[in-house]
Amino acid sequence: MSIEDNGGLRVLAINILGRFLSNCDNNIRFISFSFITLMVATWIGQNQKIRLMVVEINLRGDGAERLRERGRAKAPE
Amino acid sequence: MINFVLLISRQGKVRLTKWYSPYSQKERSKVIRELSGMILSRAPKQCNFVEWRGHKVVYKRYASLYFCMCIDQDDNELEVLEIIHHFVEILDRYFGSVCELDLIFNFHKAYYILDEILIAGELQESSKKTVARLIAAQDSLVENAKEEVSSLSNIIAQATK
Repeated sequence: MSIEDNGGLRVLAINILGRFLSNCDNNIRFISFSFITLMVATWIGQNQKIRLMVVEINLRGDGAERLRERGRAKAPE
Repeated sequence: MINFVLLISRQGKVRLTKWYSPYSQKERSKVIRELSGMILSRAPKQCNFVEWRGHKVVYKRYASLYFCMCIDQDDNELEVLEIIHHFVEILDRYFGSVCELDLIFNFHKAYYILDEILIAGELQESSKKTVARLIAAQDSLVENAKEEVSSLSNIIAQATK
């Protein structure tokens, strides 16, 4: 996660990962989900606000708890 | 890297184990007990990855058998799912529609095949044809050895008469 970026690229990255979240295969959803939580953890560590638009996450106790623990993050307006 | 490979039946009986990291006998039995309990209790709709003791366990159910592989935290889970599928396809080709009984009665051959695919917890052979050729060569070697032993025993039997 040490790639230099800006707000626009971050939004694009989240959108790409969000597409994987809408996949019907739970394995792909889990991986994209764990990667999103990794990104959120990195960005929150840098004191930046991110909003994640995660729709219909139904991972049945695999990664959903981790997102709830991190709380709802807000994206740059 | 893959730390260990487990084949567990639906009843929780271990059909095959291969350890690529050092575990004592006590630890091994504890790991098997823990993982079999975790994996067998999971619903079919849940994903095939379990986070366990700082590692990731990737499992897949084929008929009545669960194929489980424990990998490091930063390894690719989907790649390991493909390795499991690769192993199952090779077993299927070798035994001709493999079932649990094949692995019970010919467990040594299953170990041979696994040793051809994985070395030190890393995928070594991605070609199914190559693995099939090597296993066939090994089988012919075993047959030749058996023939030699039987001919030697015949010679000894005749000499002692």
